[in-house]
Amino acid sequence: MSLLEIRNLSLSIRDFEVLKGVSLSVASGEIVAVTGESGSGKSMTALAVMQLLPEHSLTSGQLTLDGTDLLASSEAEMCALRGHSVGMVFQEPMTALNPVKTIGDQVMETILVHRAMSPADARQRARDVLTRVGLPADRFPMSRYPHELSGGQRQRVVIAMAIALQPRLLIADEPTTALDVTTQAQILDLLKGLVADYGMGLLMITHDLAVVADMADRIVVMRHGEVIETGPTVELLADMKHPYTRMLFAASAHQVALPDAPAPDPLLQVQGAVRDYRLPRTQLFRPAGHFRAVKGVSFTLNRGERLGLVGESGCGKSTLTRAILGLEPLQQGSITLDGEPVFSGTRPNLAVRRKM
Amino acid sequence: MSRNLILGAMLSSLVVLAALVSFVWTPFDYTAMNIPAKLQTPNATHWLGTDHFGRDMFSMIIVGARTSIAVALVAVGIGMGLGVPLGLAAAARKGSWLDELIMRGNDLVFAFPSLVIAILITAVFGAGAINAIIAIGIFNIPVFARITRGAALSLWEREFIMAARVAGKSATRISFEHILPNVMNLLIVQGTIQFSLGILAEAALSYVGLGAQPPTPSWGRMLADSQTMVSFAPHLALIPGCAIIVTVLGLNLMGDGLRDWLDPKLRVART
Amino acid sequence: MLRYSLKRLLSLVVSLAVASLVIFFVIEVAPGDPASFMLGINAQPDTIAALRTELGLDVGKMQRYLNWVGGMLQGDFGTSYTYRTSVSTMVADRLWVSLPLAIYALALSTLIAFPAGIYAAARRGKPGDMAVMGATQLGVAVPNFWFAMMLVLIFAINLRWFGAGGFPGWDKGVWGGIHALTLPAIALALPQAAILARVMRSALLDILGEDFMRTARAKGLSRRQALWRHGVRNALIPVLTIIGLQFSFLLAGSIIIEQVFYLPGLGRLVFQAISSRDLIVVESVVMLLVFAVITVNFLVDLAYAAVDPRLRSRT
Repeated sequence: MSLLEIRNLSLSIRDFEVLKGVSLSVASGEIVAVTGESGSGKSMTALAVMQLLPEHSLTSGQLTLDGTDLLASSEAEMCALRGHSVGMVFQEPMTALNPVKTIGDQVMETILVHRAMSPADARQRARDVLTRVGLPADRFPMSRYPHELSGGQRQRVVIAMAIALQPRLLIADEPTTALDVTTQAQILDLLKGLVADYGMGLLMITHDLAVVADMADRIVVMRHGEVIETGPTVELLADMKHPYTRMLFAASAHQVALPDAPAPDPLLQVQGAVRDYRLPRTQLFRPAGHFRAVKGVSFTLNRGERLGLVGESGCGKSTLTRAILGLEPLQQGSITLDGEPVFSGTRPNLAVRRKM
Repeated sequence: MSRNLILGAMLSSLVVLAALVSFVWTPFDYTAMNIPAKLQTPNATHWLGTDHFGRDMFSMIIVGARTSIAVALVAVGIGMGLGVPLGLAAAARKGSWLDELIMRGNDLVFAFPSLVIAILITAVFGAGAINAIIAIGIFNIPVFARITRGAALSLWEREFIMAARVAGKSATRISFEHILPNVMNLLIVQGTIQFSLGILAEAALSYVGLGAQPPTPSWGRMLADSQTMVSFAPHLALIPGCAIIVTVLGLNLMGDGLRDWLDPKLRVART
Repeated sequence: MLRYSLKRLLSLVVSLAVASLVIFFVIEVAPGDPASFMLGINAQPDTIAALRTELGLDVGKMQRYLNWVGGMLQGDFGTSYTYRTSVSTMVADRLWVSLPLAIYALALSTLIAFPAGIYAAARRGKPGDMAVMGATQLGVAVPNFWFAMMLVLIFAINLRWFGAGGFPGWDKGVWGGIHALTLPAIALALPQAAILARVMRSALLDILGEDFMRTARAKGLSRRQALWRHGVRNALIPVLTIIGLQFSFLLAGSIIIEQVFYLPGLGRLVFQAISSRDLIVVESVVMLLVFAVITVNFLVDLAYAAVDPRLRSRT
């Protein structure tokens, strides 16, 4: 008997059929990935398990967690289960935390709401769990507020809140979609580690097929509220039975057929671009400090060429782009389009700007 | 269109209509005193009764509507006319000295409630409807400036504005061609609300004698006059009071209804 | 937090300074010669000259302004022209009526509005919400002085639970004073409570749609727990702004409502001063009112920082 059993789950919201006879299961220690395009009903399935569906929802079918019939449970019973037997991590870490409460309080709240421990023990457990998710005490005391953390760090706090009571099932709805690539990898490793340590079942909703291939023990492919295909990862990837599944995976492996690069003919020249931001004054009589967002970047873009500007968040790509468009001035360096400078002094040349 | 909007529009139009009608016709001369007919409760001849001088209440009410509406309307006009450009300018030059100046100016005016401004002006220039207009109008300026700036600031971050900047449009042109139309809905709703607040403010100022002076009738002054007689002639207070309530209620309902109706577009301006 | 408070304090001082300049300009510069203004058209030149000396108008405007401010900082607001007594004494007595009244009304307004707004937000769309919305819609349309008259009619004249007006003075017992201020405070509080309840409701509804509310539910909090522990505290932030603004309206309102209840507050003082052209009194009262408003806003700014930690780390 699996940890989570969903059989023939149908969901309609105000007469719109969102889920049609969905069946899947998750066993303890197993990672099941639910994937598909937007609108396929993946998130709704997750919300159905938590019974956090929007108003005017009608569900039918079977939904059992460790033998408990979730659809027959009262709201009070569901409250007892949420956070205790099943935890959930959502997509948007930037807005998932209450801005006016400390991270310590928020993690402790999961524990205290279920009266699982005394406040002193809860505090200790919260501290341990925060360290376990990669937020050690010296750099991340419990008195930190969410706005002092980055997106990846906030997501770790959300995970900490979800696993504080070592639930048997963890649901993650697109947990890394809003994060940049390096952080994504770290969060996914964290989740894998937690599953191994705690023996939890993980139901992972994601549209990122690379993640699916890498992490999942079993894959469930959904489309328009129905399960199209399901099976163990290795088998499914080797032999995709449904044409839709094939199309989905083919699309992700798609490579754009680029035409041959023409002979180099410089169009846009960026030389030694430096962009400084003035920091607010910290002391009344000292001059304000500077933050160097772009540090002497140079490159040339030729006519007919496609240039990709890639990097993590905070690396300065958007700042540089705005400077190229003439929306922000440079402190040093130059940018010319077809030989004409984008800036004269600090004022943008509108004539040049209009050519972009 | 919601019920609010329809009901509100009906009530408001009723009052405006009454005010307009009063220019061409009133059942009785609103200044004519008729002592033998004093303190009558509503009846067939005098539809809303008479006051302590025998003047017809109905006539006084509809002429009083003129004062309330005129004062509130011009005051909102001043507030919008000066406040909106200030707000646009502040948002266009966010963080600059101009922005700081406008914001500090706003805060300063907010420290002077309309009543206090009216006191200041009246002490030096004497009482009258014009002073009421100025006092209420001045207080409206920071209201509109702040709302416009707030909405404009979020719009400046939007991509279609960035596109306009890249295309080479100046900040002033962007403010008027792109930002202003998008905040218009918000301003219409706020304008209605400020209008209703203006009616209340005018009534309060007239009540204490700082607004329109006799013989110009005003609902607030009618209430002040009725005070000593309210125990035996309550209609003298009830009728002007209800006139105020109906007008303000109508405007507020209309404002709410407008906000709901324009909501999808409001969300563009707000987010 | 300290840095934030200091910044706000600086802002307060600057606002007061600029406000005082504005008031000074309107009262003493705009009418041309305050002395002849106060004495009227028919005054004799010698009388005018005498008053000018008495008022210290012989020195330049800048000097006069500094004298005035210097005097105020020491608690000296000059001498009333009509009553020939120190303005500070006259104002102090009246202030002890107007200010407590405004604060009493603010307390009542908050006490009524918070539960009403929270209740309405929790029952959004249901009859309870509709009832609150209807009541508040009516409440904001009612002029507070008219409402006061109705209260007097019902509770003082008919039911005789309260006196119809007047104020016994605080020295005759705190309770008597509060009793006399109760009807006025209710009249002031109700329309403002209507506004505040709507703001509370709308702030809460906005918060209820936020992601962190969903996170709270996912942790196992019931709807009510989530509402109280996460919703209300966050909703306080926009609500505090309104409360700050409300105080200035309440202070102005208390001045108006004195007329209904014959209270010996700042209102009557300043209106009589206007009729008798006693500019000194007007100047001082206005300065005091503005001071009260600016100070309350400063306190609200401090309260903001207490509620919203994001304000504490940024300067």
